[in-house]
Amino acid sequence: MTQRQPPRLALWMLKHFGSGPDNDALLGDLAEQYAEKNSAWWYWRQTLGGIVVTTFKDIRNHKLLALRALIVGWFVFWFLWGRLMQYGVPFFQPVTQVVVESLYKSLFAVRSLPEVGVVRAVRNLFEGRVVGPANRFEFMLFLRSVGHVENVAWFCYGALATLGACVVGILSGWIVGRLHRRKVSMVLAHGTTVLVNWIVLGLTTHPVVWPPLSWFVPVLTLGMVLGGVLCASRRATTRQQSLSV
Amino acid sequence: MRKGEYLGNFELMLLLALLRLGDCAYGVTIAQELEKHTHREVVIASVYATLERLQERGLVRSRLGESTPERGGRAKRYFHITADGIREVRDARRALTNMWKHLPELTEANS
Repeated sequence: MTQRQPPRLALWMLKHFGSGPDNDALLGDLAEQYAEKNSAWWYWRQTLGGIVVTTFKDIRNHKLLALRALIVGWFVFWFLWGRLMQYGVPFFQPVTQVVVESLYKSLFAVRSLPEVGVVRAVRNLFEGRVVGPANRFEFMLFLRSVGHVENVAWFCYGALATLGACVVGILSGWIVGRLHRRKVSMVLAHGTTVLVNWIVLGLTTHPVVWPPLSWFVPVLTLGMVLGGVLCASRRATTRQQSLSV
Repeated sequence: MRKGEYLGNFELMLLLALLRLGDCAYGVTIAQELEKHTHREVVIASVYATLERLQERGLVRSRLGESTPERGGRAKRYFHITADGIREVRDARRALTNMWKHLPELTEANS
């Protein structure tokens, strides 16, 4: 009989975000218990709980290091975010406008999609079933607006700006990880403060624009965590290579 | 006694679990023992974090054990309570018993 494997993503997260000398034993314990319990929900609870516990333990045991990580992290983030807003975002808008418009015109030779393909399929699916008669007109307007060149350009601009935010996150996470021991815990601490700051700012100053803000926040935070993990993985690989030599 | 030297509730329960389990105390069995008596789910990582703290205080020591296929080839870490740990448990018990003595309304028979 083959043994069921624990959820891959949870396993990966605990391997990379969990820290401390007992992380390997913890992974073994969870694998052993998972074979008995066979519950992915239990494994996820243990994984997330484990990441929180080890991160807090690292911060409590290395308070000055954590403080330094936050100061360095916020300085790097503030600098990179400023450059993105100053040079990146104003550059993205005209570029996407020109590129998308020229592509769009050469492809369709019209400024809006005709009611074919995906638009028609979605309309047939939703009309009269999901969308009630009262909202049908607004829904049709929305469907038609999706195909407009201005909206496609606006979407591409938003996607490019989000990509920029992700790059800022990866770079700042990588730099924080590069400059500190206990790198993943320090990066998680920095990412958490950025996330909390954005949520508090979003809820207190612009409660109406909260949904658009939420699009940037997870991308930025995930970018930071990814940067920290990339840095930690690279350092581990280098150490392994030097040991094998 | 300095503030940091008091045993916390979870620390005391962990030391008691180590005493009960003897030589077969590692992450899984310790968590199971705690769950059996507290009827609450235990995050195994919190067991390790607390044991690491107790180890730094010299109340617990650990050794690496065998690895098995169902653990993905990873070794178990066995924990043992030290003589200092046993002394701390006795002190905690004495202090708690003294505190309880004059509170008859909180004894199990009356609850």
